[in-house]
Amino acid sequence: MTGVRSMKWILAVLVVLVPVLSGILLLIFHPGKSARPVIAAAALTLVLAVGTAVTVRGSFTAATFMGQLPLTLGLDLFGAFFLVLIPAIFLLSVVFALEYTEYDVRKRHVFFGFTMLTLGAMCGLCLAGNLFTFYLFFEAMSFASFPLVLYSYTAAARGAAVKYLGFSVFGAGLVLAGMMLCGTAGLQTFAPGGVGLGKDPLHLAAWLLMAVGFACKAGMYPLSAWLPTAHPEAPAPASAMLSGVITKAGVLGVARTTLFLFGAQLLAGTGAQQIMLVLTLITIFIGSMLAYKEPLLKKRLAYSSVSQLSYVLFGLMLMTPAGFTGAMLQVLFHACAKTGLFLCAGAIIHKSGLLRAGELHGMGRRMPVTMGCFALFSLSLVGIPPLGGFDAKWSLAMGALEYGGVLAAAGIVVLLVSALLTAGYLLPIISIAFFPGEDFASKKCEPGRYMTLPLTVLAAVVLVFGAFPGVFSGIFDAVCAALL
Amino acid sequence: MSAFFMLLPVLIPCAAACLMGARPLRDKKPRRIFVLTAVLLTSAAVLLLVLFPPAGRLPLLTLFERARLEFAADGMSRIFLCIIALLWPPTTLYAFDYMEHEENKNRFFAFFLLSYGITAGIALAGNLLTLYLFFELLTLATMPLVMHEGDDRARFAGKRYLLFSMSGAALGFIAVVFISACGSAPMAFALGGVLDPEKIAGHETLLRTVFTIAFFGFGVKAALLPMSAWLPAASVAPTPVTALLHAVAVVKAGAFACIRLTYYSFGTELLSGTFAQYIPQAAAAATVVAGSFLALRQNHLKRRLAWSTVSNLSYILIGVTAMTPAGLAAGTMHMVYHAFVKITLFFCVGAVMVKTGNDYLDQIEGLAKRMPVTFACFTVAGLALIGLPPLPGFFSKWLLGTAAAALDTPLGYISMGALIVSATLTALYIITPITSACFPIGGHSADMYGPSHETRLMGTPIVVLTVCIVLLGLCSGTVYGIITGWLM
Repeated sequence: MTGVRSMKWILAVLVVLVPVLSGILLLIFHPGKSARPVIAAAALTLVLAVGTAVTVRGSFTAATFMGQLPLTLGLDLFGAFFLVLIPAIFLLSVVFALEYTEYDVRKRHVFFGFTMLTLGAMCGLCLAGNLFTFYLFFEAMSFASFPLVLYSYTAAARGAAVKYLGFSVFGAGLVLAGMMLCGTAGLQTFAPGGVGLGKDPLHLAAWLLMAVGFACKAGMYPLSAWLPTAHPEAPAPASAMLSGVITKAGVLGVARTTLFLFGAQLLAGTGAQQIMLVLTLITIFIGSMLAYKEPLLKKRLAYSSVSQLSYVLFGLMLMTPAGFTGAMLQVLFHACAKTGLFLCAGAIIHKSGLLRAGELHGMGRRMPVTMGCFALFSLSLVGIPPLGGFDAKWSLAMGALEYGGVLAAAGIVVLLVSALLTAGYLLPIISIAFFPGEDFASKKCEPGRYMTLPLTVLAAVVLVFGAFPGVFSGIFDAVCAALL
Repeated sequence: MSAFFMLLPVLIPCAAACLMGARPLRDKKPRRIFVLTAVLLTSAAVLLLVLFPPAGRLPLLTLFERARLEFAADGMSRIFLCIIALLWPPTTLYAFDYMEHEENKNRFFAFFLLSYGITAGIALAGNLLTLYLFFELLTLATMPLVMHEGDDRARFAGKRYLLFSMSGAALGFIAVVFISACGSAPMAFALGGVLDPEKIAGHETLLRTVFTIAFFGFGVKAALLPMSAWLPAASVAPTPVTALLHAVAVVKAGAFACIRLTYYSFGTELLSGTFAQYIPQAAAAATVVAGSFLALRQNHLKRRLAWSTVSNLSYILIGVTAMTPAGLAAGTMHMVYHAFVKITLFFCVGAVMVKTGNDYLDQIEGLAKRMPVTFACFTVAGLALIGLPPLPGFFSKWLLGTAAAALDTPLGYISMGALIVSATLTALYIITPITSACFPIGGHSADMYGPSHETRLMGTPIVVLTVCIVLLGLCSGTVYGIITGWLM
C-alpha cells in the first residue's frame, strides 16, 4: 500500500521535474529549428499532469527545513483543476509560439527554456500542500517568467520586466510578511475550510497582507500598475501565458490562503473581507475604463485582464457557494478567452504588423479564422450567452445576491457597467474587422496551422463548455461543499 | 585539547606575515606557496580548534586586577572561526590571480595574513577588553590593504576608514571600562551578561546609555547608520580585500562585537524593553532599507554590492537587537549565510572588473556570453541574497522576520517590514546587472562574442563557493541545528 502511495507521489514530482529539466536542457543545448523537443516536453508535462490530477490525492511531506518549514506536496480536486488547466494552456501557447518565433530561430530557445521553467514552477504551485511550498514555487515562477517579458531585448522591455519583477517580489514579500506574522501555525497543510487558526486581529492582518500580496499577481489595485506595462511588452504567446494563466497563480494563492488556510468561517463578515471586496470592485471598474481608452490592442487586452481577474477575486471574496463557482468558471473561461485574444493579437502582429485596435479594417476578411475566434472570445468576455463568460458572470451575480448588503448591490452595478465597457472596447474591433466599408487592404494573410489550431481549440472550449457548464460547475460545487 | 592550542590560529599567520615583511619573496611561485601554506595551516588549526574546543580559558596577560587579556573558545567564537577558516583559503587563490598585475604584492599578502591572525584573535577573545584590543589592531592591519592602490582616492578612503573605525572603537571603549568596573569577576563573556547585580543597582539608566553608545561604536564596523559611508568608499581596495574583509571579516567582526556586547556582556535582561533596545533597533531597521535603496541608485558595481553589505549587516543587527534567543540564532545564521553569498558576489564582480576593465553597470551589456560561468554563479548567489527558497538567504530572513514579529512591539513589526521592503529592493539591484549581462538591448551583437574572459584560478573559488551556497541552503536544518546547539 505504501509502495503504491509513494509511486503516486513520484508521478507528482515528475510533473514539476520534467518541465524544469527540459527547460534547463533547452537553455543549454539549443535545439535550433527543430520544434519536436519543445512540443514533446510540453505535451509530456500535460500528460503527466492529467495523470496526477486523476490519480493522486492527499498530501505528502518530503522534507522539513529547520524543523519549522515543511516542504509539503498535496493535491485535492481544486488543485487538480488548475493542474490540468495550466499545462493545457501552456501547450497551446507553445504550439502557437513555434510559428510566431519562426524568424527568430537562433534565440528562441531562450523563450522556450524559460517557458518550460515557468510551467514547472506553476505545476509546483498546483501541487503545493502548504503555504511555504506555495511561496517557494510562487517566487520561482516570478523569476522564471521574468525573462519572457525581457525577450524582445529592447529598453522598453527591460523597463517593463524590471517593473514586473519589482511588483512581483514586493507582492511575494507581503505574503512572506503575513507568513512571518502567523509563524509556524500558518504553515500547516492546507485543509478545506481552514486549518483552525484562532480569531485574532493578527491573523486578519496576516490574511490581508497575503491576499493583497497574491492579488498583486492578478493585477489587483493598488498593486496593478505593472500588469498593463509588462504583459504587452512580452511577445504575444508569452503575453497569452502571462495574462491567461500566470495571473491565475495569484488567484490560486488568494484562494488557498482564504479558503484552505484561514477559512471562510474566520474571515466572513470581517472588515478585512470588506476591504478586499472594495479593492476588487475598484479594480474591475478602473481596469475596464482604462481598457476602453487604450488604443494599442495588446495593452487594451492587458487592461481588460486587470478588470476580468478582479471578477474572480470578487467572487472568491464573497465567500458564498455561488460566488465561488462563479469565480472558478471565470478562471476557466477567462483563461481560455484571454489566452485566445492575445494569441489572435499575436497572429495579427505576426502577419500584418498592425498594433492598434483602430487599424484592423477588413481583418475579418483577410484572416477569417483568426478574427472569427477573436469575435467569439470577445463575446465570451462581454458575457453573451451561451458562451462561457456568461455562465461565470451569472454565477458571480448570484453569489453577490447571496452575500447581500450594500457591497453586493454595488458589485452587481459594477459588473454591469464593466460588461458594457467590455462591449465598448472589444466589439468595435469586430465590427471594423468584418464590416470595413470601402477602403481597406484585402490581401489574405491567414496564419499557418500552428497558429490557428490553438485558437480553434480554445474557441471550442469556450463554446462547448459555455453551453454545457454542468461538468465544471458540478466539480466546483463539489469542491465548494467542503469549503463553505 | 590544551588551551595553549588557541594561540596557534593567531600566531601562525602573524609570524608568517612578519617573515614576509622581513624577507620579501621576489618570485611568484615561492610567494604563492608560502602564502597558501600559511593560510592552509591556519585554517587547519582553526578547524581543529572548532571541532575539539578546549574547555578552559587561556590568560595572556594581567594588566591590572580588573583588566586582563585572555582567550576562550565558546560557541559564538567557533561559529565566527568557522566562517573565516572556510573563506580565507578560496580568497587566497582568488587573490593570486587578481593581484597578478598589481604592485607591492609582498606588502599586500603580508597584511592579508596579518588580518587573518587578528580576526582569529577577535573570535577567540575571552572578554571585552581583549576583543577591543584586536578590534583596534584589525583596523590598523587592514588599512594598508584599503590604501593599496596608493592613489588619492585610495588614500582618502583609507583615512576615512581609519577615522570612522577608530572613533567607533573609542565609543566602544567606554563600555569596556564600565564592564570592567561593574562586572562580576572574572568578567569573561557569558551568555546572559557579566554585570554584577549589586554594583549596578540604581545605575541602570546610566548603563543602558553606555550600552547604546557602545553599540553604535562597535556598530561602525558593521556600517550601522549614521556611520556607514566608510564602507562603500573602502571598496576602492582590491576585490579580494573588499570581498573577504569588507563583506566578511572586518564587518562581521563589527556585528560579532555587537553580539558580544549585547548578549555576553550587558545581558538582555537589563536592556530588553528599554530605550537601549529601541534606539539600536530603529537604527538597524533604517539601515536595512537605506542600504538597499542606496545600492539600487549606485551604478558602480562594487559600490552597489558594498551598499548591499551595509543593508545586510543590519539584518544581523535586527536579529541582535531582538534580544531574544531566537533573535541571536537568526542573526548568527544570517552572519554565516551572508558571508558566503556576498563573498561570491564580490568575486564575480571582481572577475568582471579585472578581466574586462568594466566597473559600471552600463558597461557590462551582453558580457554573459564571454563569462557564462561567472554570471551563472552571480545569478545563483544573487537569488540567494534576494531570499529565494530553498537558497540560504530565505532561511535566515525567515528566522529574522519571525524573531522580530514575535517581539510583538511596534519596532518589531517595523523591523520585519524593513526586511520585506529591503528584499524587494534587493531583487531590483541584483537583477539589473544580470539583465544587462544576459539580455543586452538590441540582442547580442557580433562583438559580444569572443574568447572567454574566465580563468581557472579565479573561476574555481567562485564555483566552489556557489556550490557551498546551494548546499548551505539545502542543509539549512543542519546548519541551524549546529548554530543553536553551539550557542545555547
